[in-house]
Formats: sequence, C-alpha cells, structure tokens
Amino acid sequence: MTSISLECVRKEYGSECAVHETNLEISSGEFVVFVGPSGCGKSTLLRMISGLESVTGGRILFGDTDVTNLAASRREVAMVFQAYALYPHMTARQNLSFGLKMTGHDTREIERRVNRAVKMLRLENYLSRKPSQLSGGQCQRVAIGRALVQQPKVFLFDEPLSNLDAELRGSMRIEIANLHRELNSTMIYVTHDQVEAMTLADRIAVLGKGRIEQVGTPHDIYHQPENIFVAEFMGVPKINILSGIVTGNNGLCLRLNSGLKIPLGGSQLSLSVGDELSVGIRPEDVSVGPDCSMKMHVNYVEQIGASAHCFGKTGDQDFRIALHEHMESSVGDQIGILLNPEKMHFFDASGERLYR
Amino acid sequence: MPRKIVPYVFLIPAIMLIGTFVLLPMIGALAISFSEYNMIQKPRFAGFNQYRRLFQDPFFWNALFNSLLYLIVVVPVLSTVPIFLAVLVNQKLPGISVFRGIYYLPVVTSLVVTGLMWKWVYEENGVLNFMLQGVGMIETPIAWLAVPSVSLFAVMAVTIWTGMGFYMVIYLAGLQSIPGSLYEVADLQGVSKLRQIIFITIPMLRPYIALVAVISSIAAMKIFEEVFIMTNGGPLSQTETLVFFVYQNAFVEFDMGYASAAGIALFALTFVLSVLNLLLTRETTDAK
Repeated sequence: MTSISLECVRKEYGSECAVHETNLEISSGEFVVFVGPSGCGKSTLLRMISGLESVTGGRILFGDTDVTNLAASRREVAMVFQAYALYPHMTARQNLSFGLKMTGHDTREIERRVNRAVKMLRLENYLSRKPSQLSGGQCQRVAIGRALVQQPKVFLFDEPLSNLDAELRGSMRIEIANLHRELNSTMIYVTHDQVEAMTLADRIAVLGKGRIEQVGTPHDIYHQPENIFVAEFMGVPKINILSGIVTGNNGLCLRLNSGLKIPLGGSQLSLSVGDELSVGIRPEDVSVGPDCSMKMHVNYVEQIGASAHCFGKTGDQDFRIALHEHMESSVGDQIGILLNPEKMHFFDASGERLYR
Repeated sequence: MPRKIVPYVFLIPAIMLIGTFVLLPMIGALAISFSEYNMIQKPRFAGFNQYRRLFQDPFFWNALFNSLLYLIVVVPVLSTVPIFLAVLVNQKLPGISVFRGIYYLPVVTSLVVTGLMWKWVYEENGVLNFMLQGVGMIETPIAWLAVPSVSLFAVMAVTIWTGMGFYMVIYLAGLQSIPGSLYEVADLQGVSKLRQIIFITIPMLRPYIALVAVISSIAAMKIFEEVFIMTNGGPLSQTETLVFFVYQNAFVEFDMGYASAAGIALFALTFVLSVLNLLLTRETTDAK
C-alpha cells in the first residue's frame, strides 16, 4: 500500500500528445477511477504508472520514491487486463503461482498466498482448469487472484470488466469493491463505464483529450461538474445543455437561439445582460406537468423498467427527460416541462462552471 | 444440373491436374516397381524381385541411413534455432524488416544457385577455409565436400542455412499471435526475459514447433538438389540420399523398375511422416 503522486506527467508519441501535463495525488489505500471516452489517455496514464509505458516528461512517485525510470518489475504493482492475459497453457493454479515461482519465492509461501487468493475469490473448483475451460468471469477472477498473490503496493485495473456481460459486470463490480474493502490497498481502475466509476471509486478522475478535466468524489463529479465536458460525460441519459444569451426583463433569463426564454431565478450568479451562458440540467431534475409553459415534443421513449427516458425537442433544441414509472409517455406526445433554477448548472462561454 | 453435382464439377480441373501429375505417376510407379523396365524395351513383370533386390542392396541401406541421419540432425536444428531467430527479428527495432528480408533471402534463392555458391564456399581455396585459417582454427585447408566423414554434414549445413528463413517466418507468425499482454504481466511479475521465452514463448509455440518438425522431416526425406549440385552423391556414396538413389537408378542406370521400388519405399516412409503430421495438426487444433 502506497500513495502515488503524478507530477507534470506527460506522454508524447512523436508529435502526438497522448497525455498532457498531469498532476494527481492518490492517497494510500484510495480507490481512484480514471474515466473518459476512448482515446482520452486514461489507459496510457495507467500504463505509465505501471512502468509498461515510459513517460516523456514529469515524475511519478510511490510514497517518497521516484519510480519514473524504474522498471515495471521493480515497482511492485500488479495489473489486471481487459482481456485477462492469462497464460493459456497453464491451469488456473499455475497461472496464480507462476510469477511467484519465477521470482524464487518459497514453496510454502506460494501455497499460502495462492490458497488465500483462492478462498477470497472462490476459485476452489477451477484450479485445475485451463483458461479455455473457464468462463469470462472465472478468467477475470483468476486474473485478479494472480494480481492478489503478488501482494503489490498498487493494484491497477485496465477496463477489467469490459469483456463481460451486463449481469457478470454487476457481480464482479461488487467483488472488486469488497476486495478493496478487505485489502484496503491503493487501487487505480480505468474504465469508460461511468456506472463502474460511480459505484467503485473513492475519487474519480475524468479525462478528456489527454487531460484530467476534474478530480472529485462521485457525488461532486455528478452534482458539481467543473465543465460541460464532465457534465455531459457523466450521467445517462446525458445532461441537457441549453446555450444562449442572458437577457434581463423581469429578472434574468436565458434566451435561446430559438427565441425561447428560460428564467434563471435568483441564481446568485454575477451575470450581466448580454453574457453568453450555457445552462445544464439533468434529465431527472426536469419537472413535468401539464400546466408548464415550456413544451417538449417526444420523438423516442426508452423504457428501462423503473423509469423511462424520453428524447425529443424543445424548439430546435434536443432535450432529454427521465420519467418515473407511474408517468407514461409515448412518441408524438407534447410534455409540459419546468426547469427549476435551483437544479441548474451554469457554464460560461468557455464551458467552465460558474459558481453561485 | 442437380445441385449435388455442382461441387464435383468445380473440382474436376483440380482432380484432373492432380490425377495427371500425381496420382497416375504414383500408380504407374507402383506398377513399374513390380517389373523390369529400361525405358527402351517393354516392361517385363518381375513380381517382388525389385523389392528383394532393394533390401539386399547395401547402397540402398546406405542411402536410407544417410536420409535418416539427415532427419536426425537437420530436423532438431531447424525446429529450434529458427525460434530464437524469430524472437530476434520480432523485436521492435528500426530497420528490423531488413533483417527479416535478409534471413528469408535463401528461401527464395534457387537451390541450384545456393548449391553452386556453397560449393565455392567449401572449395579448398574457398571462403570457409580462408576464414578458418584466418582465425587459426585450422592449419591446412579441408576439402569439405571431398572428405567422406564431413561431406554429408557440409551438405546438411546448406539445407539448414536454406531452410532457416522459411521456418523463422512460421515461428514469426506464431510469435505475433501471442498477445503482448502475456509478456506485460510477466514483466510486472518480475519474470526475466529468458524465462519468458522458456515458460511463455516456447509453450505457446508448441503447435508451430510440431508443424515445423513434421514439415522439415518430410523435406529432409526429400533432399536431392543440394546433393546433386554439390557432391553428386560422393565421395564414396557418403552423401547419397534416398531421392538421389532413386534418381541415380532411374535416370543414370535406366533401371526404372528398381528405382520405382525404391521410390515406393521412400513413399512409405514419407507417408508415415505425413500421417504423423495429420495427427499432430489435429491434436493441436483440438487443443485450441
């Protein structure tokens, strides 16, 4: 278990910058999730921490030790890969013990560590099977077990659940969360799945185009996104972003391109008439009622059990709302909607959050 | 046309080609092996005489021994050394594809050219003697292809040199099918590069090793060109292999019946190796 510091860490491939100067502090025992769209640099950042990828600039520290130029084998990290990376010619047991055997660990110590991992991950029945005889979930549990027996300072997970089906992903997520609670180790987890990020992380780092856009607790990331990118990336369905100009008849309003005016209420923002402004409101924060003056034309309804997601337009603006089970809607409906200024997120012309 | 017949219609050209150039000659050879035939007079039925002759002929046993020796020496070398060559050229280094090309060059070079070139290399005043004398390993030049105890091994070296690139490419394909993440895990676990080759690369290449062993065994049984160009079977029949024995009897002695019987014996040996090939390939496919 160790803390990790990234100081101005940068990665370039030729003239292409994969990761811009990045600073991040990860406390000992913390579970940090790197989340972001494909190609945002999250896996590159993880691989730089592991030592599998060199850094172009900056420093990586484990505790007080500078590991920037230390070989991967000497960093005491263990990594779980998306495609499991189990040795196909070895049984599950051999996969678990291989690394320890190769580094000259005592047979009894190997046995002890393997048995502990087997017990924790309930692998007893699969030990003599080869990876080709295991399901995806079982393979990933063996891969996690293999990381476990190394007793690393840091656990790294590179989209470990992406190859699994939805049900298995859910159960494996719980297993990983339990594992972190039991081991209390420093863990870094890369995913593009925001549900995984929100449910597993102590803190989330949202990455976009090679930069960390925001670091915070899942609650902060969701409820106080620092910019439009983060606001849009986190949340399903996506947050509604309405952009326009601030006007000022009878209190401040946001005038959209379509001419539609949205009252901003007593938002306590230092806004002036004529300012460019974007307002974000999450689909579940939109109030619905027949008397509301703003109307949404429903184009598509997604039934997901306990709620339904309605996709449509208000004026020329795409709009999404989440309806509770008891509220029904179908394609072609006109739904009255109300945007509560208290639930709104405000962003300036450059997309950065404006604080109340 | 009935649908069931259509596939067979498409097969006709291939069947005709194989039939004309492979099956018919095979059946012809089998028939001739039971006769005496010198290509001028009509074949005369001789029963099992040619086979009886064959098993009593010390030159046949010598040729068989040489072919098997070829098998025993060449196959292990060609099954193992190209693995390391493939590992070497599989590195991501600038200009590595040039090396791959150079190693593959002997494969695409005509065996006649290769044979002639090596004949010069092996000459008493050739490059090899010049180099060995230069580093002080030998005092007087050796006639590599003329000394009975050495000549067969000198020819084997050429076969190895020629085949190395081909088998390297097979192993290279095998290496590139091994996911890089397996080595990354091993790196993180602190497994040394040599141990990675022994415990990850070689086991993962097992199906390819089996394939190379069988292909190179069959190739070793069919060795002819190198012998024909470099030694013509000499000195003292020391480099005479089975195929060369067949050639010698068929096209120098014009003893077609006897040559065919030797050819059938060679076929039987190669058939065993082919069956082995089939079984091994099936086994590795099942394992996958």
